[in-house]
Amino acid sequence: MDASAVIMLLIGAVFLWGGNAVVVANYVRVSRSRRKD
Amino acid sequence: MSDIDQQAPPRDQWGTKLGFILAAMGSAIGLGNIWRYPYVVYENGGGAFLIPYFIALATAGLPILLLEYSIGHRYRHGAPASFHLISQRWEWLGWWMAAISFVIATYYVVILGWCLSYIWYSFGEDWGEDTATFFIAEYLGTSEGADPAGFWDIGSPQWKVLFAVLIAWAIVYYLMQRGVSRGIEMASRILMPTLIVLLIIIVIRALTLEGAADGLNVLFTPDFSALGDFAVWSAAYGQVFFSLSVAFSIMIAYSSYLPRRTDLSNSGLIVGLSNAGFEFMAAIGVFAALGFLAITLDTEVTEVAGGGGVGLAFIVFPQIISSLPAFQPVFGVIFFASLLFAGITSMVSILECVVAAIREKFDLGRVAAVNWICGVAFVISILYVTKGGLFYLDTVDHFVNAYGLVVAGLAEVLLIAWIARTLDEQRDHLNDISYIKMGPWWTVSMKFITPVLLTLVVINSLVDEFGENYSGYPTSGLLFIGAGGVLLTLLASLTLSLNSRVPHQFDLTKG
Repeated sequence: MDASAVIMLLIGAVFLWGGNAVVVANYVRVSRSRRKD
Repeated sequence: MSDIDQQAPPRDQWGTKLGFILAAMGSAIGLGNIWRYPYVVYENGGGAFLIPYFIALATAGLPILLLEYSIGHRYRHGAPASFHLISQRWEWLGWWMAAISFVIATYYVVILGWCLSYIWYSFGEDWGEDTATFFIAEYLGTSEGADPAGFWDIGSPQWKVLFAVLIAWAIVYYLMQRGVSRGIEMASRILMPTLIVLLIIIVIRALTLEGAADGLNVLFTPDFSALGDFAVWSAAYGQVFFSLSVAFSIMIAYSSYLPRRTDLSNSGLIVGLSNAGFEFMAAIGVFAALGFLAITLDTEVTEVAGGGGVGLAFIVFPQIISSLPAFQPVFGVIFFASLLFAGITSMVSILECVVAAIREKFDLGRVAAVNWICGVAFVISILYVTKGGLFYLDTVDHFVNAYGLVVAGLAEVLLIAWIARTLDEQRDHLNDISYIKMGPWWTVSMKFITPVLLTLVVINSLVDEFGENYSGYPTSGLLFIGAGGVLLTLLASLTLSLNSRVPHQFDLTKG
């Protein structure tokens, strides 16, 4: 693959999948803390 | 519980928060994620398109999604009654959204029927070598090889298509009459994880095929000069808007079924980003597979890419499936089952916002409302299984998306931000119960960026519309079926908002 295409693929993956992982992790953390309360 | 709450009828509720998130994801993730998004990226600057796409997601997609969550959760009704509570004169807007959703449901189910047929055909690769002729002429019976000149040649229903559509209706009806928790949520809990697993299988297989890198090069090689073209920005805002199921009134109905104490903004961000992540992954799978097809046919990826949509799913993909070195039927079933599962979870959400609206207006039980809505929608859906059905489906889809949904979404934002001026109240409601707080960017997006961009999207569509007839269809067809269909939804919404009555009130000061 061309380097520019790889870079754009990685940018998309980091922003979309990484962003999604962050909000899911936040959801899990909040759910657990609420359960403890 | 206040007296006001006690007067209200018992309201359906999601069984769990996860169930709501999966159902909302199921609504957002639909057929367009698989067959529309990859082509929007490809045709609008490749990898460079990601820049306007991210900006559109942050300044329009996620803010509108969260606004609809806030409206539904705060007023605890479907769209018409919620808008009635915001401003009595604007109840029609809620009805218009519901009417547009109803029209979309009448043809969306037909595509589910096609998916069911193609799952069956996958076992024997019944589409043969000429997949276009098989789909258009043999399966759909469309007049003269989809020549627009045959637009008005309605003909009789295609019985095998009607049979498949009947099965699709039976599945959808079963889920709808079981209710929010036992029907929609249960289906989403099973279908959404399955869909993600199936997509991962497709992507892995596509990436391991010869030519996959060529396909990804075509998809992701950036053309930064495209960023100076307004049409690319318009495409990004349009894609985000259509993809997230906003302005259907689905998210208003769905969030109205949440308990009072719940986190809205984090759920909204999960749904929005999952939807975006899913379509990004689908684009990788689709273009890797197209790269393989190009190598197989000894041609360029741009030659086999086509225009996406129905053609990609039912003409290009059968070709790809038949060209695979092994397990063709297995991958055929996996691909069309993915489309089917994505479609079912979206279809039930499209119907649910109509069911919620009708039940609240006419005090109907769920089964009675579902019977009426599915019954009438089924009769209308027969139009799309006739010889000219493909033309009518394409025309109605184009008009309700370009002029129904976008204009309704624009009106929704203008109502909240500028006319009723309840934007701060909606934001306070979101922030009161959510961990992630909406800051000034949300207000600026809703007040300025989103209305301006959506207006430009509508203007862009109108300019294209008057430039040449959509898909070369006759003007009479576009006016009667397309514009007429949109006007009919508007007329129906105005009629339904007459004799408006105050819905069961809720104590809005409660969280």
